[in-house]
Amino acid sequence: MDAVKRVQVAADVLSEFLEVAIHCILHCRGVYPQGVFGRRKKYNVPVQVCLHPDVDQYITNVATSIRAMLLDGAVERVVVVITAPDSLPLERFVFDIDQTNQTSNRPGREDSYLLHLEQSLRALLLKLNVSDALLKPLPSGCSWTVHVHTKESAATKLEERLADKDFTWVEAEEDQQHVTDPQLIPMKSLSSNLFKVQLYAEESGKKT
Amino acid sequence: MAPDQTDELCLENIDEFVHDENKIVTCKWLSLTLKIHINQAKRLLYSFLQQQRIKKDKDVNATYFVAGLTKGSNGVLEHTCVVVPEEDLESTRKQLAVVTSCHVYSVQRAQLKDSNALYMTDYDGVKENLSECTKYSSIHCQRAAVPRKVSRVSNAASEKQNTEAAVDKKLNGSSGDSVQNGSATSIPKSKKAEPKGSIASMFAQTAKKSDADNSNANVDASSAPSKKEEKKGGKAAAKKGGVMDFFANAKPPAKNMAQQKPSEQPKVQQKEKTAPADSRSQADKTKETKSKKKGRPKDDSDDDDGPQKKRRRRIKNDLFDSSSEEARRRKRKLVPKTYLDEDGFMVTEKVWESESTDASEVEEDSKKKATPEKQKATSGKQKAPSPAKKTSPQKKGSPAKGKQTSLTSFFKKK
Repeated sequence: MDAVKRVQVAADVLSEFLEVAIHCILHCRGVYPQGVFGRRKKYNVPVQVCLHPDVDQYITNVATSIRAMLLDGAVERVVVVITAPDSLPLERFVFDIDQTNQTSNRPGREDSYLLHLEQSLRALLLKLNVSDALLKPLPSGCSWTVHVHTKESAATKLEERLADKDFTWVEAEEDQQHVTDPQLIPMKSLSSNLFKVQLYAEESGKKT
Repeated sequence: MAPDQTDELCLENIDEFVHDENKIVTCKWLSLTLKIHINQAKRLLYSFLQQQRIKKDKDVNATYFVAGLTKGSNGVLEHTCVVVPEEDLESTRKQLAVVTSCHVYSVQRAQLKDSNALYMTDYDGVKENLSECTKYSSIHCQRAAVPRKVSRVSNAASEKQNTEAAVDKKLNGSSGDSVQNGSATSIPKSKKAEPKGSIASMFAQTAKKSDADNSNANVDASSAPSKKEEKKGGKAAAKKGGVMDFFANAKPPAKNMAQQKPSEQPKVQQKEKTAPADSRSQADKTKETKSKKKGRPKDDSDDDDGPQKKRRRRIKNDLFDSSSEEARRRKRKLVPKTYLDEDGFMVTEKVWESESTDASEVEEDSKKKATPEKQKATSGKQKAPSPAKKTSPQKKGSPAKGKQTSLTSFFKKK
């Protein structure tokens, strides 16, 4: 019972975090104009959240689907791809997720109130906020999408689950998965009892 | 010169933070990280910025903190503080009628879109240092109440929960003591009534002075020969007489509550001086807290009722009693005991036996060890480390008969 609970908690925390992180990326990279963002509170710090209802709904649906897949432990990584107007990927923010080795609480490293985890997630968000110092600026008119790398079985399960909700996931196109002339920028890694996340960015050398 | 060298090191650190780690370096964060005074941090940030300007490094940008007086919309002069990016610095300064303060707030490579990241940078550092927030700052206020440390709060809360039962027990116990100690002019019955009366008067929101004085006078007479009087040095205000008996009997503490206790004892005496027995009455409460705070700037912000604080202190003092007893009891011997196991194996164990009275405890220890031994069914093994481990949790777990071994024994009693 404990293990099941831990998986659920991990899935909840991680999906919430990814939702906030996606909003953060959209804000930091200027994908949408500043005006559509509003300030909300998460993990006791202010974060910028996109207030446009369609965008908000879309991101919520993405997070819900990711949560469903996380419950099965089938998510390998979640990628937020920012594409140029001609739909070539310019930047990829990759969240590498490792849900194996969910260790039970060691006496010295207990985090039953998840305070340390909250602190680490805050640090991750902070790192995202300052990421624009490491990346070259984006051209205007960019679009974005989310890729989830997972197992085939999980993908079919997800299709069945969400078939009625009018939110489908399709297989990603090949050319959107790879950045031309990529440069890797490692950003932050987080490890906790529940999961491990690594955040890095791939940037195309050929941004106009 | 030494200050220059330290400055050089700090500047190198800032360089590392900004360029290599891509951090946002705020003056507050820098002060906490390098453990320097906040003004020094501001100076360092400024000199770092100058250096970068000289090197023509356009990577680094800064935000400034500007404070000053400005005429508000309703014509009143207002004091405003703003954090602005460098571009807006001049315009902000011009808007203010009088600029009282202007310094570098943060230095970073990233282009900040809003203040979120600045807040996030300082958040963890500030939360961890809440109790010493003025350590590196030049803003001081004698009367300001410092927030309590978290551990103290949780201890106090848990102690509060267990006070009621313990209070009554201790009351009766110590009132009995005072009867024996004192040249008992008063009857034991009235003796018990008086401490209870004084306690009751404590718990009552509106205590009457007359009642308190009566009880105090009586208790004074009884406790004249007791140690307490010597300690208090004849301070006539032995008003919470029944309660103060407990404080008097407390022996010097052996635990880490020692830090609080000596500070509390003189403060208790001070409090008696300043606080009449009806301190719990609402009217006087505000005056109390102010005078208290004056005398005790470091004390926790005790806006709580007096009685609750008394209860907390009483419990702590009880613990001091027990801790000193523990010191005595700690003289234990590692005694090897051999006995026949269930399966017929001879089992030899080393058991901690105390030299002093608690024979019962020893029995409990060996009993508890016997059962796991049966399960493991190892023969002839001397489990020296495991009994040692088991004794420590068991020592806390064993309901010490009539004596308190530790804080956790409180909870086990129930």
